[in-house]
Parts: sequence; structure tokens; C-alpha cells
Amino acid sequence: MKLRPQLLFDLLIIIFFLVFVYEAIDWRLQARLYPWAVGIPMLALSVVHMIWELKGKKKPSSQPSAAPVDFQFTRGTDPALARRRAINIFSWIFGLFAGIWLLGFKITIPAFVFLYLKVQSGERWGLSLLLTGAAWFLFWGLFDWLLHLPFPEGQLFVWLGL
Amino acid sequence: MIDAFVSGFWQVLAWPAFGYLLIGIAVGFFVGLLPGLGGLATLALMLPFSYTIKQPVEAFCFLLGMLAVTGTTGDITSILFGIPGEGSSAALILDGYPMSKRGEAGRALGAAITSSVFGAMVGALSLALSIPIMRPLVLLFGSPELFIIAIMGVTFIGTLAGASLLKGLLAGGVGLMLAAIGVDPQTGSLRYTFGSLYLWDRLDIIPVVVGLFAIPEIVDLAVRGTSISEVPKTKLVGVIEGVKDTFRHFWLTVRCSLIGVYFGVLPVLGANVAQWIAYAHGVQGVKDAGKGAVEGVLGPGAANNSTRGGDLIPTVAFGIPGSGSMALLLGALLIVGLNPGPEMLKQHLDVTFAMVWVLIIANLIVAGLCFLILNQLAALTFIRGSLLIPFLLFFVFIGSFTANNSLADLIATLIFGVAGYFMVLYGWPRPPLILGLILGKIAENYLWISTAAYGSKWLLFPSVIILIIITIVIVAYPTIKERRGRARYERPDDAI
Repeated sequence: MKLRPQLLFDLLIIIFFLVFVYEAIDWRLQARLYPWAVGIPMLALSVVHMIWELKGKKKPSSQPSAAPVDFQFTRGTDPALARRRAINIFSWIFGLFAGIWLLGFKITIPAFVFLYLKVQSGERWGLSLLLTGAAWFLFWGLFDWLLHLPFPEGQLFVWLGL
Repeated sequence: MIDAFVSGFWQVLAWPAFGYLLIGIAVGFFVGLLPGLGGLATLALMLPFSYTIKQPVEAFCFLLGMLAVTGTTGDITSILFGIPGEGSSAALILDGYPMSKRGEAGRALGAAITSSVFGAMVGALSLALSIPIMRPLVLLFGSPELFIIAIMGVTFIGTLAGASLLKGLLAGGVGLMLAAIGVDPQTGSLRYTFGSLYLWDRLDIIPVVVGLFAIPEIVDLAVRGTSISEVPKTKLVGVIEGVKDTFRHFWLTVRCSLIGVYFGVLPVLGANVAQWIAYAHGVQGVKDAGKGAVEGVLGPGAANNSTRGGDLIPTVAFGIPGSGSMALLLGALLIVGLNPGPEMLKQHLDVTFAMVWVLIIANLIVAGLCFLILNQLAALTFIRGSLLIPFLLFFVFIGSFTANNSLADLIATLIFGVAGYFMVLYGWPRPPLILGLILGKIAENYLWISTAAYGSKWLLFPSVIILIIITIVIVAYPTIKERRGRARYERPDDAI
């Protein structure tokens, strides 16, 4: 038996189908028909897949069709460095969401662009300010002024009653 | 009929109709480029303007001209940045973006634009030619067959999972299950909402697509620390090669265009589904599929444009819109005083043919425009990733927000962004999940209608059995092919 990190992901898939099938138990037939028609066979397949993975069944790497027809992460970067950089960019992504939630789009978008360019990318002041201005103009001109998208105020302002 | 065909052409080129067409193309060009902001949303925003346009042809030059080009420019964003410009352009990421990364953005764009124009022509001609014969085409399948076709679509795309067919099927299954979230259409009861008001209205496709596809690509760009293109900057080359590719794979482009037309004609299915089916068909048997195969660009590029022509067929002929955008166009038909149905095919045949011409002319103009500024567009892939990333994330979040103007869409994008990252990391294909999510709602409706009308007898309908057999063959074929290949691999002496 070979324990690999992706087994956790496989386990999550089983739990996903299990929860979706279990939730439907008390529903009327009309509501339950589709989730069970799809979910039960998929639950069985996910268990079969997990067993295969546990047994370590893998295709010979010489076969060209081994990778899925989908985007593949670039190889060649040191795995530890790649992991650190991935965590770093995810922190920025989650930070952007937190900023939008707390301060709203209008403040967060230019602030984020400037901070990313200056702090993360280490760009010069002039370029950082120029691109921040461009981002703000694009945001305000297209999405606010022209399309009138209803951007919500930041939660922080709601809490502070501003 | 010929008179109406010629009259339609001159009506489109007459002033001010042609001016409206140019405005529509300009709006559609930018809407297509911007991720998330789709043709449907923009059509809804622009529909009120059709009240002020008195002539039907002028109104359609504006609205249909705008809608016709969003698919083409949406393909450009998918290829250059790995972010779907339109929901119907997501499939182009799979091979178009890898081509950009290895410095072949010009070839990918040339192929996408040419196949798009080609697809639009096929779609428009199908609309023109099929007017007398469309009724039996639409009524060919009932709900049991349409349910099996939906499952077949997910299965078909699931077979592209590479090493593990099961991963592809399971990813499709996850999409099909996610489609069940929200208010149940039959009983009105809440399913899988877990107390969240946002989930009552089902998962919107835009935040899911943007999260699943764009975030892993942005993470990869940050990890690499380079520009999108991994090769040094050179003058954009290969555009002509991309154009030639379309003609080199002429029959593939024709077949994928016809797939688009057919999925456009079928109710509810449309460009979002057709692109994946065309992609799967295009890369079947192609060794470097998913790593920058031009066939993976040509297939969806042609299909997502030809769908427009197919979409218009039931809308114009029967007043049955096959998609959300066609429902809005149907509204525009009524606003300008036209009634879809026999009237459109008799008294207003020239207007119907004018629509055909709008599809053709709009796509020719936008293709010319794209070729003129391709160098500038492709140069974006040589900009340092550290400069691009904040702008890409800005568009990811704005694009998700525009789906429903809700912050909850951003949370969905984040969740599916993380899920997409791990799916790529562990070799799970993402396209089946998206197709499952798109087809799930349709599949459930057809399953329930079939069961309510026929009980379980529909499973024994000859047409259903044939479709099930085709589905099984689709699933079994790669396994049989692989076993044969493995036997040959293990016994090289026998092969000699």
C-alpha cells in the first residue's frame, strides 16, 4: 500500500459523493431521483478509484496519454520554492478578497495593484504609480461610470456606520 | 428566395444599419476580451437601446453584430492569458494557452480567428439552408434521448482524462452533482444549500469557470516568475501558419462547426456545451493534446461561433429560444414588431437573411481587425508576470462579481480556484467538471420528464439503447486501445 498526498484529495471526492447521496435520503422521489441516479454510481466509482490508488496502480510513464488533456503546471522549478511561491500568491489572492470584503472594490483595486507592484514585484515608484492609475481609471471608467455595476461598500464602513 | 437573400445583404450595408453594426462590433469586441462579462449580460444591458431603433434590420445589426463577435474575441483572452474571455471560450485554454507559453501565440491566434470566421460562416449558411428542413431536426429527439445525450457529453469529455479514465468520469460526476444545488425545479424544496441563501439560485457557471481555470494558471505564472511566454521575445510569427492550420485540418473545422450548429439548434444546449464536445472531437488521437495541439484550438474556435447560427434557427422559425442570449434576441424581435415563426419565413424573409449576413459580415470585420492588432495583443504575453498578475487578478474578481453582482460569487471563485489548483496538481481534468455543471440542470429536467411520462420504459426505447451503446463504446474505446498498446509495449518482439 502506497500512501501519497493525492489520496487525501481522492478521499475528499468520496466524502463529497457520500454527503450528496446521504443528504437526499429524506427528500421526495422527485427531488431525490437525479442526485441518486448520478450520485450512487459515482460514489461506487470513487471508492473503486480509491482502492486502485491505494494499490498503487499506475500507467507506465512511457505512454503519451498518461497526463490528462488539461493544463499542466510548469516543471523545472524547485518543488520547495514552487510551494513557497504558490502559498505566497494564494495569500495575495485571499488578501485581495479580504480587502474587497472589508474596504470595497473602489479602494481595494488600486491599493492591491500598487501594493503588489511595489511590495511583491519590487517595481519602481513611477511604474507602480502609473500602472495603479491605469488600473483605477479602467475600473472607474469602464465598470463604474460606463456600466454602473453596483459595487457594494466595504463591510468595515458598514460596521463603523460611515 | 434569392431576391430576399440579396435584399438582406444590401439592407445590412445600407446606412445607418451598417453604422449600428460597427457600434455593435466595437462593444462586442471589448466585451469578449473582458473575462466574465459575457455576451448575454451585455445583450441584456444593450437591449433597451433597441426601443429607440425603429427598423428591425438596424436593431439586429446592433444586437446580433455585438453577440456574433464576442466568441471570437473571447478566444483571444483564453489563448493569451489562460482566462476565459467568454464562458464559451474556456475550452481554448487547454491547448491555446500552452501554445502562448511556448511562444506560439501568433499561430494559436491565427488558427482561432480563422476557425472562428469559418465556424460563423458555417453557422450562417446552416441558418440559411436549413430554414425549410429544420422542424424534423428539432423534433428528432425527445426527453429520454436528450437525457442520454447529456450524459454522453460528460462521458465523452471524461474519456480525455489520460492515465485514469475514472478521474475524468468522477470529475464529470462532481459537476453533475454540483448542478443539483439550489431549489429543486420539481418540488421546490431546497437541496444542498446548507443554509446559504446564495446557493438557492444554483451555482453560477461564471465564478466556477473563472476560479477553476484562471486561478491555477495565475498561480503557475507566479511560481514560474517569468512572462506568460516562456521563450524570449521575438516578432509575432506563425499567424499565417495558424491560418494555414485551419485549411490543413479543413474537415475537422467543418465537423466541429457542424457540431456547433447542431448543439445550437438543440434546446438549452449551446456554445458552452458545443465547445467541449468539439474540443474532445478535435483532439481525439492527437498525441500532444492539452500541451499545445492546434487541433484543440480549431475545434472549439469553430464550434463556439457556428453555434450562433444554429441558435437562431429555432428562435426565428418557431420562437423557441435555444439559449439565454436567444431569449433576449427573441425579445428584441418582438420589440421591433416582428413575430417569429412562419411570418419570419414568408413576409420578413429578407430580415431573416439579413441576420445571416450580419453573422458573416460582423465576423469578417472583427477577424480583419484582430489580424491588424495581433502583434499588439500577442506582445502582452511577453510582459513580465509580476506586472500582469495584479491586473489578471483584478479581472478575475471583477469578472466573477459581474455574474450576479454578489460578493458570494467571489467566494465561489476562491473555492473553485483552490479546487482547480489541486485538480491540476494531482492530474484531475477540469473540463468534465464544467461540462457536468452545465449539463446537470438540463439532464435532471430531461430525466424527470422521461420518468414522469414513461416510467422506466424509456430505458428500453431503441433510440435510447443505441445512444447508451454509443456511450459505452466511447468509454471502452480508450481502454481497449490502451490495452492493445500496452500488449505491444510489453512484447516488442511480437510487434516487429
